Amino acid sequence: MNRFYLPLLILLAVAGFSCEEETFEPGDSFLQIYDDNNYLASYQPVAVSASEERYYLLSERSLTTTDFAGITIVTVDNEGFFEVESPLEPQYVAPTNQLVSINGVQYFFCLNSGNLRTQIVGVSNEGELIGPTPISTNAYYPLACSPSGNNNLLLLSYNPDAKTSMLTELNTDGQVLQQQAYSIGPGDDVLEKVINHFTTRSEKLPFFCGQSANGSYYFNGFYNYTLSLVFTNFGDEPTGVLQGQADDAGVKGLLSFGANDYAMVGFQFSDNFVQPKVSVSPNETVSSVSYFDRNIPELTETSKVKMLDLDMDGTGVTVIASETEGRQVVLYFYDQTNGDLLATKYLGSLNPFTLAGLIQTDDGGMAIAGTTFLAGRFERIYLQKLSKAELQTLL
Amino acid sequence: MSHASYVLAFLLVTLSIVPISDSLAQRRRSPKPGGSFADDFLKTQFWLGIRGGINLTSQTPITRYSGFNPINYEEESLDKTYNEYSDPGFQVGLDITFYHKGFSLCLLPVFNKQVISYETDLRWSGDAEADQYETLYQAKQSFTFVELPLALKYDILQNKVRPFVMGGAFYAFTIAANKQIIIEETDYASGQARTFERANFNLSNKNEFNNNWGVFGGVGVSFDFWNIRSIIDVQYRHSFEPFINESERFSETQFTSFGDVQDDYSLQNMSASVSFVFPLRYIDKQFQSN
Repeated sequence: MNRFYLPLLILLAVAGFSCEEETFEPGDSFLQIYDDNNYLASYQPVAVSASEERYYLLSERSLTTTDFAGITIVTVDNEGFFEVESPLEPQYVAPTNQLVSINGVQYFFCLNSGNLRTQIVGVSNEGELIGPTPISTNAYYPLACSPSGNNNLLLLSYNPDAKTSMLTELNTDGQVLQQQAYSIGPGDDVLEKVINHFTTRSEKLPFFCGQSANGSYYFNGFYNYTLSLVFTNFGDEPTGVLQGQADDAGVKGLLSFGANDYAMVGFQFSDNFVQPKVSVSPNETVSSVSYFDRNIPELTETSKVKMLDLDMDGTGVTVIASETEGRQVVLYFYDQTNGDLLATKYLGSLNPFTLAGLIQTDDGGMAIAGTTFLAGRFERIYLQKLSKAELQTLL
Repeated sequence: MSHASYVLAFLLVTLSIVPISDSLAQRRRSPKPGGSFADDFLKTQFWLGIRGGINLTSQTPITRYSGFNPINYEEESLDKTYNEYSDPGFQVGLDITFYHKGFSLCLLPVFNKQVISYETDLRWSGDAEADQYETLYQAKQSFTFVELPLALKYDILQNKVRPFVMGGAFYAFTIAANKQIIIEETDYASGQARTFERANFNLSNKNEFNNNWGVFGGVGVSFDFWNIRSIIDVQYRHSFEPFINESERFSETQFTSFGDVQDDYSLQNMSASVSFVFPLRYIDKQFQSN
């Protein structure tokens, strides 16, 4: 009779082995949504960054005292679980749409609406605010920021008094290292458009700045009365300009990944044009429209564009992220050597998703942040992580 | 060693019962001196048949999760409310039994569909009476298993009506899983509650689950009529550990965007089945029902 117990024992062994725990690695993929049960609360994230332990979500928030957006920082752990929210006082408004990570501290700029002075704000590794600290510049509408060489920061701002777009390089203490103002030219002021950029969601303008792989600086802002991509070495005059058409056409996003190699997204009225690899000289002055080639109809007229230089085991991949008419976020992956499309991925399904920013994580994955609308009406932050394995499968 | 390898080994050993039991049976075909043919027949027999029935399933939450991270309220308010033994499923399969002197070794491979259900409610509110909004998320989760239960059964009485008790273990391969979602929302925009259905959809989510295992016990009674043994039994299945695929828990799906991610839970299942089994050895008229 004993032989008949053998299958039972084997079955129990099978069951026992099936109980081996499957571990959840922090580097795995996830989607997390951060909810606030206040009916009137609204979050509009504008940037994401990360340290080894945490993600930081820079978000605008609605204020009752002004049409400008207030600021809050949501800190979550590396599995996406909420840790702390650090709202700034209501007088601090209009955050730049990038978090710059330098030595474990995340930096951005904002405006003190009380005295109209630009502020630099740091976020510590634990999510605590450092500042805001006023900076010594008379250009007080902060439009964009980015990292520059030697662990410094670039700031693009607008001075309505002098009618100039100003590019400033600062250290992390907020001390100005160099800056240069460029006139928007004679004619009507663009202040109304700048103000609308801060106060009206549908009238956001694609301000950005940065430093190319060849060392030249650039900013996308008002110059000569058009929304232009301006190359400069902080001289009195730009070295080169890609001129837009007032604010009806221009460059929407730019990524430098070679000496003169760029990925570019441009717009002209309702159309969006994607150039995954284009050579641009920082010393030429041409119309930016001459670079526009391939229209992508699925991108919305007001879509944000964010780009990422993704390092896949030494191979450069350009990720262009934007927003579609289907209320999804789309990620286009391009080979940097030849500009070929490698893959396309969409985020979002039944709930609409919008884009705030994307970063590469230390483990080789990618994180994307933006907004989704709970129950179709409550605007909340999402953070989605794509693991390195998932990216490898995709590419 | 993969699960499939273990299962293959299990099946090979289980199937080895057949020739063993058959050889035992063959040796006993010659009536022993002093023993009746009927007694000998009833002492050792191999039965094969079909079985089917219905089941109800409950679950024991072990660790709770939500796809939403609350910023300003308690995470517990997002806990799912599970219904217990409320949604019927069914099972259909084979009954392979080797009987010897009151004890039976039963292999009962079945196609088993089990269903659980739960709901979650969320509420957003402001200072004004009209600033209220509620959502009720109702989910019905079904699992389809190919289940391999192995049980030892003891016939308490060994007459034509034979009550029995049984116990054993099972391993269940998850071959399909489906979730039906109904989302109802209530808007207080005019002060009065107005409820409407926002979504109703049904999607496969097999990748959210691993295979399951557990133990089971049961009672029943069998009847011998018309050369057929009819068996009615009720069983209780108990799984001890969650069979959720953790790596998929927070992956982006249509469900996570609504805050619905799988808790860690184990399944408990109650089933009632009817089997009709036939003896594989000689059918003799003396065992027919009168």
